[in-house]
Amino acid sequence: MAAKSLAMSFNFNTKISVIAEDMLELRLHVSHINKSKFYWHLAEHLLNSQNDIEVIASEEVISIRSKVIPMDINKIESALSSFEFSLISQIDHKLEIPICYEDVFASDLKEISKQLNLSTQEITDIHSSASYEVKAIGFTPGFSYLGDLDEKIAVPRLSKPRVSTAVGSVAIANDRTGIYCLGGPGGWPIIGATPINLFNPDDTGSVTLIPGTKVTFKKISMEEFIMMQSRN
Amino acid sequence: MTIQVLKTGLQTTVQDLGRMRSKHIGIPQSGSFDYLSAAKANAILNRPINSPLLECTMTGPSLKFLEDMDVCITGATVNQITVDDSSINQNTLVHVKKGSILSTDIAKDHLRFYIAFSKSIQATEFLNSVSTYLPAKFGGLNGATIQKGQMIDFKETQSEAYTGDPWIENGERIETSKIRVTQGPEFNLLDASSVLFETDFIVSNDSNRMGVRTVDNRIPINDQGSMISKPIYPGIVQCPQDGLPIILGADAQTLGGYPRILQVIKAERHLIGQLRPNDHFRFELVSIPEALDAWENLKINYPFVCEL
Repeated sequence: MAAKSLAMSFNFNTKISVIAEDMLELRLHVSHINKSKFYWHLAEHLLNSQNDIEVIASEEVISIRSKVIPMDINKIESALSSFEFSLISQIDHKLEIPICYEDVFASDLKEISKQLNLSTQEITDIHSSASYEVKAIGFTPGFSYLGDLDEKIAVPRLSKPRVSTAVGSVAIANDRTGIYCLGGPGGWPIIGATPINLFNPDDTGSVTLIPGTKVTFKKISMEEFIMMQSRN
Repeated sequence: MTIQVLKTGLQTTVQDLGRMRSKHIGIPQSGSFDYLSAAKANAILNRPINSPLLECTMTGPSLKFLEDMDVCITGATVNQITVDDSSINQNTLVHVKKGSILSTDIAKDHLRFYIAFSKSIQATEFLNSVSTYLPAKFGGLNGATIQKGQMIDFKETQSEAYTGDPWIENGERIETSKIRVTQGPEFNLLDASSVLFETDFIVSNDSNRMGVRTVDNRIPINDQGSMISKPIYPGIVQCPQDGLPIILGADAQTLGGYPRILQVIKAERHLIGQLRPNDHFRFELVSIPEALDAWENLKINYPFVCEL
């Protein structure tokens, strides 16, 4: 496992593990209710503290890769100590995302319906009636991990991932649901699509869906889908 | 200032050294896969190493120059490169006259070669890079591979010229039979890690810029496929349940759910871009201090890599 690790305390408890000559991982012990939001904002804070690093936040670890090696852990530590989560806006964005579950968009819905012994209507009702939170962003551009999905409709990843998915495809896997905003390859079963473009980063790289964003879905018809899509 | 594409090659894209500092929003790095060869091509032309160039995969383009320009071709050894009817060399500056045709055919060994120009390719910039990312059509020329008949425009670059001397290449061979790695965060999920370093891995035909996949030789891994997705980068080696390691490439996704068993050392990450289908290679485990030494050595041999 990691070559060495050091435990430190800031206003939150952090463990820094040296993974490789240019890579560190941080694990935090935050009892915070909004863990993924905390991770993502801390990642952004770390990124802004140094010009020569890359930072990626997942749901349970923050990873840092440095252009300059050996890495200066002191710089990371001092950036960690200057992070104030209370300064991050505690008002979470709320977003209602329209989804069309019609057959033409829902490549895997019938198969899932057989697997779970639930009607497609039951599955899409469960999917569209719950409230979600963005847990992580990444994988391919514009993909977001939303949770938690009702366990009644939890299914595993496809055994063979698709080489490409349609733009806006809505997929589920285990306790997560996600949106392939820009299409691309994908291994999650697809049950619908949204006509809304959720991924248009400007040159500063700011995006609509960030961890902490609260998301609800709204079932729409094919006619509404087409109408909304034409407005993009 | 323009060149015209007469023949495209298998997958020819505009790349620079990649899109940095955007992985936190899920945007992959991209950039030249063998970035050492790419940087070298620009350094030989006395250009900033991040200048856009053409990355060619297995087979390369034929280009008609509608303007005088200097070019330099580096990376995989190309079977034949001609300007009109004369053969030209790689790893050196070549003058191409207006009206001449530069033709490349097929890589004899390894996979990717790079064509750098004395002028700057006009390509779409997105998040501070013109690198083409094909899956989402970012950057490059309309986010795509170069197309037959397409005109590629260039801009003058006097202001960008390097102040130092042009790099003179000593013609060091690309060697991919042994790839040095350090342990990855999930190294301990390997059932018998020694097997990993005694196995000949064979590069799969399914490899692409996202990842180099392997076939046939499986290693035992203790994974139920239930890991929560973790941060990943070019150079990380993932091992799915099927036991066939994948070395993540320039276009690697930013989060992934397979165990990250190894990471290719920084000094050898560029070599991943030269692994060609059916190539055999082995992983060699080194310590973090050894990985740091290897990077220092690379910087001594290629001073321009300080910027990588």
